[in-house]
Amino acid sequence: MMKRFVLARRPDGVPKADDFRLESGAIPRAPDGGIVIATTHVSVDPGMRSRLSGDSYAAALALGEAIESAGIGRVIESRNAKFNEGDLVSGALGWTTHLAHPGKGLLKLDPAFYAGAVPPTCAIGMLGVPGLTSWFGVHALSDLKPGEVFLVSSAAGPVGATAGQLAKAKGARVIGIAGSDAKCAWLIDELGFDAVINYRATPDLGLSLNAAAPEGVDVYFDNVGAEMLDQAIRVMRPHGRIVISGQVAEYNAASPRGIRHVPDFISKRLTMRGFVVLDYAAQFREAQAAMAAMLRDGTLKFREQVVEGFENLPAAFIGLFSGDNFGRCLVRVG
Amino acid sequence: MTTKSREIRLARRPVGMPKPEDFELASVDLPAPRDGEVLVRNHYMSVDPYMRGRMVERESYVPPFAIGKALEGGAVGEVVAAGKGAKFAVGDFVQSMWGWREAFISDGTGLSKVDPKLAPIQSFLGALGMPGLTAYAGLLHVGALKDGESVFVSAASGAVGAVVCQIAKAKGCYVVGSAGSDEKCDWLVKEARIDRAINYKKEKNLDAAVRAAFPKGIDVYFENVGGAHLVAAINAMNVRGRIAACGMIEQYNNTEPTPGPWNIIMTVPKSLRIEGFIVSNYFHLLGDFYRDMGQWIAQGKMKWRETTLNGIENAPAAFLGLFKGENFGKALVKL
Repeated sequence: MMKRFVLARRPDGVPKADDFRLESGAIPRAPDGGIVIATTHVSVDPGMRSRLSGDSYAAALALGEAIESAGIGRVIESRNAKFNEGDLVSGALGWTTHLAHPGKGLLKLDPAFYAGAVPPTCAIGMLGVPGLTSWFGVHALSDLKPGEVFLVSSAAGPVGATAGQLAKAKGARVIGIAGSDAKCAWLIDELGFDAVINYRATPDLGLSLNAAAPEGVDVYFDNVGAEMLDQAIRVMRPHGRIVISGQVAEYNAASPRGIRHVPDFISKRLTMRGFVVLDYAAQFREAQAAMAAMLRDGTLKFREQVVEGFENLPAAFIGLFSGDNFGRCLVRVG
Repeated sequence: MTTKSREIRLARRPVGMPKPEDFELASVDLPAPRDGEVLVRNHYMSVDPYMRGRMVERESYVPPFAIGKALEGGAVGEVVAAGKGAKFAVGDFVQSMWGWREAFISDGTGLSKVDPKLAPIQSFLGALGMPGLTAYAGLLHVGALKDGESVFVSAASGAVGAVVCQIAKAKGCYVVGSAGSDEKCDWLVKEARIDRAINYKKEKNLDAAVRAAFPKGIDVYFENVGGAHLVAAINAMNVRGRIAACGMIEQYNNTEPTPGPWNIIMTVPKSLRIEGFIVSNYFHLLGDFYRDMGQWIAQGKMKWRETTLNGIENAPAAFLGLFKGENFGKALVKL
């Protein structure tokens, strides 16, 4: 039996379980030249939120369509010479247990490469969109130099944690902002961050930033936006760089807040750059090879939170917006 | 023998919009220049929005003005007396940062000669001075403008904006400028020859007006204003667009940071770059700037307007006028 979640209605603010509808049907057969994939893991990312609305951020998903997301699956039927039954693949599989696929735009996971310290789930994590976002944010956009101060928000999330470790590897002093003591302890003890701020435990984020970065910040890697971005702008040093990777504080807002401290861009000659990781598609292979090597030698670490059971997908997704999840969130299917 | 010079001092730090009482007129007696010194009589001084920032006690890229001391700013004057061994001769025209006063004594530090044959001397405070270089560096280097792109300019008839518009036109770009009166808009279209001008004071919905003016989107936005203009520009920017942030005149007199832009979220899907800059980081471009401007002026591609008040006593009024949009083009005081 094939099961899938479709968009039942457009979420208002934080998504609710009723915004999604579970449907079922027969397992599809492979089209001519195509394959059938049985999903093993579905990725759950906050960035998917914007496609559920009719806003201008990204083309909206139509009502009744399967929710899109990255995933990993196994080929269970093939009418395509490039794939054999049993091959592991990654790609935009969506919130479905099975799907018929034309076979294009999928990555076949080489079992020799995705082994040991680089498990197959890395294809949609550290070596997929989240990890590549960190890589290009740090290496292509931040102009980070050894000895500079690097600040990252959502620091225990998959993008933030990787960005912080990449900055550390470049010789920066790394400060992370995260939402629990457990996350902060992990950043310091396991990932080697130099300082952390639990934004939920501090009465004044601005004062905490002053204390953690008394000389200011050279690069801010922003995953949050809104007030946190404004506070970071305040502590930026002259010629500082802000990399906008995500704006999780704005995704559910009926009217986004944006920022207030814009004149600082001139007085401090700041540069702020947003980006989508696909801008760098031509360099993905090179980045993946470099990150795999760092995973194998222990320079890069990651944390996965695996939720069991396809039916729990909406709950896992909704949980992203409460900040309760810890690490890369995946749902194991079947 | 002494020379009387009147000057404008900062009486107190302005809160919000500056008022005439924040300034005071004073008179000093200057001695005759000693060896190596010159006495310069200023002919023109400049008033610029950035000076507002120096009236506040805070850390900034230039130190704040001191209370009870004469203000500073760009000026062009003539050497009227020179001591033995001075670097400048009587009759030389020089540019300095010793504005807001009728005359001054200098050992020559920070003074540079200007050529009155190249353009009227006051141009060295405008199109051929810091405002012009600001336009040049901001558009071509910060904005990384490519020939034929679409350019949006706010405060487009101002000292900086008018030069931005015409450099972009010289580079074959589609150019839309925003200004605050029909007269300014007419000048932009007829004299500066930009493609469209928006009178923002008449637009109920600036966002819609900017979108309508850019059916193909904006590649480079030259930001002089902040506020609603910045929001409208971000909404209309193309993927990989650049915003060169030169000034935020709407916000200089605010005592609290104002909301916005709310649409920073758009920087991600559009891969936008927003960069603030200050002209003093681009003095190395002066050679290229004079070369290119000389060519554009000779080809009739570069025009500018000036608004001039007379007398040092009117300098504060000229400065206050900057924030009311009363000036048309470069604001100057003739001394």
